[in-house]
Amino acid sequence: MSLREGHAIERDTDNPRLAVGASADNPCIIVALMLARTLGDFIDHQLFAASTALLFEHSRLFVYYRDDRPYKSRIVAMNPYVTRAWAMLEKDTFPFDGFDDRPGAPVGVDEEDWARLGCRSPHILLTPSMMQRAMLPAFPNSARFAIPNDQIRGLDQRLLDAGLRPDRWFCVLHYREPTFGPRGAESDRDIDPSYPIAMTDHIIRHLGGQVVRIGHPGMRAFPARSGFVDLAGEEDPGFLHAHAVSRARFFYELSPSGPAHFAWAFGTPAVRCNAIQGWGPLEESSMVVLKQFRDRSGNQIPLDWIINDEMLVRASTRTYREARGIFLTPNSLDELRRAARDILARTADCLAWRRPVEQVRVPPPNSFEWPLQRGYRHHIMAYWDSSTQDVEGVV
Amino acid sequence: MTPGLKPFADLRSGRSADGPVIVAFLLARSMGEFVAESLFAASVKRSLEHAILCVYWRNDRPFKGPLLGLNGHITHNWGAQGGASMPLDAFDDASGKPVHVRDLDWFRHRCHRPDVVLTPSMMRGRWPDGVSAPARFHWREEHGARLDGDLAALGVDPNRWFCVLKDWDSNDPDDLIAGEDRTVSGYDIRIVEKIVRDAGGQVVRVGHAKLPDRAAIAGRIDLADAGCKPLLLARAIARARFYIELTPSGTAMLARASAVPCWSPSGFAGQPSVAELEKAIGALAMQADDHGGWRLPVVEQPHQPSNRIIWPLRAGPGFVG
Repeated sequence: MSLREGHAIERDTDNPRLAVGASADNPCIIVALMLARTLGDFIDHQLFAASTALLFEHSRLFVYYRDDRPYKSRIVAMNPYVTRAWAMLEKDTFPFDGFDDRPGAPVGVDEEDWARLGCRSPHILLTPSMMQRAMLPAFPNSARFAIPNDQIRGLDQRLLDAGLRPDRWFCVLHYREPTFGPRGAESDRDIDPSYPIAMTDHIIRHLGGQVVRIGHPGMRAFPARSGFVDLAGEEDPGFLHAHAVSRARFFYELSPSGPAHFAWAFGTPAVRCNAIQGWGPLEESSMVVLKQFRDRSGNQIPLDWIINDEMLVRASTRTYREARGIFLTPNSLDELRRAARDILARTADCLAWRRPVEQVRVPPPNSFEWPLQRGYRHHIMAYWDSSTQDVEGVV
Repeated sequence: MTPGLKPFADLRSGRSADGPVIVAFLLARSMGEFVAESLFAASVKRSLEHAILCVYWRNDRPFKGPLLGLNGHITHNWGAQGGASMPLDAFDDASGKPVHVRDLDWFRHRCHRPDVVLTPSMMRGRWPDGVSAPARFHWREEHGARLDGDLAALGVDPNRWFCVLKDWDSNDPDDLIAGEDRTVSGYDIRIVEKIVRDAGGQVVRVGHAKLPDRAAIAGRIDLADAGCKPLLLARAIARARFYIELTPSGTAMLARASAVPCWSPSGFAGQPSVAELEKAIGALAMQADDHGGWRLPVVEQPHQPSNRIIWPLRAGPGFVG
């Protein structure tokens, strides 16, 4: 028997062996609600949940998602940290009361595994609003996707069959076109299609690489040429696009679009051009190249002003830009070329197809402070005038 | 700051209107767990500056609504009834939702974009690290005064301190009969006499509504059916010098919610002996402040929010469920 006040008790988890996540008997149970519909958001949420799982020596990650896009189940399959996923179809859903873990729950989840695997009693519940991409760089161990083992050989062969030489490096090229499905045109993100054609030529002819384009069927046709492989026309690419990204020397994104998120999911360095926000890649060698920011008078806004102001996060909102008198101009061909040269220099260690590298991990802390910090590890660049600007001075 | 991380501008600094949103699922069915969940969620809210707390609960017990009303930190609540529920897709914060929540308040309070979601397993009788100022029951003055009047009308002398004694409690009629015999012969008279005659207090007896009547003793007021009046029960405990119970029960959580010293026997040690009860009463009387009359209801103390929580929420100083 114990005498105790209402607000004072002994701690019962001072024993570190009993701490959540510290032993296989007491794994940290994480339930993540992956409700995003866009490709980029869905990938980032997978990475966020998986990186959360990596904060613990022992964890179980459960994913609830809506299987309403052809790519979603494949992306879940590429996340090696998922213990079990629940795919919702049509109007199916689980109720809030699915987290009632006492006997006799009047409403619950009609899935035996939900209770058996401990999903009713999570230690952490992640919603889309919690899985913020600006927090991803704060994880000490970033999770990576992995192509299912039984798929790799066949996918390599498909790349060879498409015309890629195995002894030379290649980059994956992607950009947004206004013909993408129901979302249609987005003037802030779509670019002049002549630029990608010109950049493909530049990479093959002047940088000595090969170029693989990924995207959606119906993108503008490129002139056929040696060193260029077009995978954008694949009606059902399966894992092919993702696999190509995992093998690439770098991902060259000419305008912000979802497939680039595969780059940071596989640890492939990326350069994101025509960006109007600062977030993006997770690799320290990666780059975000901003559009030109100008004020009402047409003067360029210095990069360090942008970096240190909220405009780096908010500039994607047109009303915000109009209120602040900010005008954006797309990257010129010269800027795009310089970005390509820079990312080439940063990836000098990859002279053929990229091979997965085992990550060096820090010991899991078995806990984390919330909210996570919002930040970035890559380089935010501007090539707006004759001199390159980089707030880190790394060029 | 995490090593190597370059910070983005903090969009939330100084923007009170955009304070963090906490959504808590209060799904417990027992009174003790329900109160613990309610105040746990409120304590998390207290640790985050400008936070708002919205709760989803199941309106299936008569005590839930009234006791939820004593949580002064809830911005909005949804009480589900029958087989109704809300879908997990309510946290879908993008456009073109395939599953809809047709409740504008859900969106008005930004519940579709929470910063923290608390489930029962996270709130089970424990406080998170960093919560230095746990939430307590909040009594509106008029409401409290009315209940105090009810207590006085039932015979509680406003000029003398009292304790609340939770009598033998069981859902099993056989236990009840057996316990009745033991309680009357073993505990009841001696305990009440010790409090009333030796220490100058009163005893407010609470418990199961079907408890048999006790022998009348001066200074003992019987509120055995107070369980049917959850606010009267909570108020009585909030104004008691201490709370003591003969078997472990969720009612003790009402004492903890009002920071009233309490004693409960271990669930593993069998029934306490009279000597143990007397010792506990002596210790409670010592640690409780010297109240000439009724205890003043606890008031939450101002504190500096930590603006952080540690996941997973770990056991720390606080409640035990």
